[in-house]
Amino acid sequence: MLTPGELQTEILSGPLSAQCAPHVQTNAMPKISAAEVRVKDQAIANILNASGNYTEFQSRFCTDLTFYAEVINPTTGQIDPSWTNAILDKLDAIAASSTMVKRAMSRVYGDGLDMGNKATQDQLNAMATAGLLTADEVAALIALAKRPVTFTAQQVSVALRGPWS
Amino acid sequence: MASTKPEAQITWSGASSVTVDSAAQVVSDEFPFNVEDWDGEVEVSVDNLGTPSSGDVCNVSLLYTTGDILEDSGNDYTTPDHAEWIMQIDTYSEDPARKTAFIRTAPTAFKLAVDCPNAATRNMVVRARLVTHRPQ
Repeated sequence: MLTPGELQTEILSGPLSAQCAPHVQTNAMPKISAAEVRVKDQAIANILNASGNYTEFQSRFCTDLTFYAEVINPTTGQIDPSWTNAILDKLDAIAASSTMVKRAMSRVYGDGLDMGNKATQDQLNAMATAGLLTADEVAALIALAKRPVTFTAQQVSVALRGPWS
Repeated sequence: MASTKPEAQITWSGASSVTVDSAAQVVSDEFPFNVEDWDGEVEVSVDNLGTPSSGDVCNVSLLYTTGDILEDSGNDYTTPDHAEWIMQIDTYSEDPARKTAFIRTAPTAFKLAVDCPNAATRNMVVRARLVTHRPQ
């Protein structure tokens, strides 16, 4: 989740700043009514939300069936069970020599492994660093726990007019 | 039997309004009740001096006194942390905004306490007025 200061930077100078600009109301501008400013703040929130640019991780327990059903191959942009199967084969091979991965994979084939958990993500990233998985494969697995961030007019108001601390 | 509804402005250091410019609690002058005040209603007005933002609220509380509980001198009021909260006015919802609340008249007197958490960023002008019912 962005801090108010980070959100302000996104609104004023991020990739959507030109679209947001007509709706920006800061403390340096002449006062307008609460009714008017709520409309402006909501307009900016709508622009940010419609962009799909902002995501965050949530806790999500995934099984091998989730992987087959949802993992997207970045090369094709499509759900790709064959590509996913190759990832699972690699993980099974790693599990043969790692007790920790073996136990994690037992969750994947059981009740599910939390792909939003930072420890899970760190472990997968370490596998990519070690060359056991590719960065694309790790990113595709971790993406299962991503969800879009929804901004509100209230968040926009604090980002633009503070207080920021 | 005729009755009356006298009105009076709540004052802050003698002034009929106060500009709140920090998050600190601001307390009004004391307002002693008339012995004939059976009922009371207080109305609070808040005007945000900037363009409102989420969280630009004014919390209003009452500090009552039953008199000299410490038996030393003067009225002893409810201490600030134990004030009776009566309303929150949200200027991001409506600005300026006004709201009324019932006030008990059995105590000897009261003070109005307001705190506006974002007032250091956007000052707020607060006013309050009391009307009581005197069935005399």
